[in-house]
Amino acid sequence: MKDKGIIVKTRIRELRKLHKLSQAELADAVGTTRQTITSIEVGKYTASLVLAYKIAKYFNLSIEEVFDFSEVDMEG
Amino acid sequence: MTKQIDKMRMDIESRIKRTIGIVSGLLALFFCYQSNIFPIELGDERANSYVSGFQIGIYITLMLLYLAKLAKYRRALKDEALLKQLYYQENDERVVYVNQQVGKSAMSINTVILLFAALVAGYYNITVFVTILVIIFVENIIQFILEKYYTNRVSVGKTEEE
Repeated sequence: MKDKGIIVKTRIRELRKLHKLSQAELADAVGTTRQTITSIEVGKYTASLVLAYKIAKYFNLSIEEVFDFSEVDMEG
Repeated sequence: MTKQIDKMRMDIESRIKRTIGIVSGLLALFFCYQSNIFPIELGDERANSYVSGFQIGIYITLMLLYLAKLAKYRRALKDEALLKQLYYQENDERVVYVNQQVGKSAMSINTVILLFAALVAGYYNITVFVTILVIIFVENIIQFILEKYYTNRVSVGKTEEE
């Protein structure tokens, strides 16, 4: 689930602020815990594809617009 | 989400039944112990007392743990918000990931510690030595079976490969 050394940056915090949403509220909306949202925001944990999809969908964006995969090595 | 919460409610109901069964079983075992149906006769007063204290401790601790679980489940059934919170806690992918990592590491660390313990025990007591070896063997057999089971669950057969 979490590849060593790969940090997927996200715009979740920025989007939350934009929508005036707390971590707990977002967590509740996408069916996870506040702690998980915190960990994803600070880059300690990489969300699964399903959770990434739910978060992106919640903000009406695509996964790539919320998560930055530029540092993910396609060959490794 | 409502579907998952309904499923969780049903799951909690069956967990309550299971927990009541376990607590009843523990109570029965505790009763057997108190009635001296299976007396501890190690031939040494201190050893008897030690094992006896251990048994009482185990029964009481387990019963308290299961009773606490029972109370938590009953509360969750009465309160929708609590039930939802419990569902999120138990199914949170980060928690699942942490548990997977713990399981993976704990197994290897356990085996190494037990191997060292067996090496040391071999100098003093053959029974302890053999017991530890059996534990290592059983532990690794279980790991092998579980690995096979979960590999099969996430793999496709040869025919589906093409």
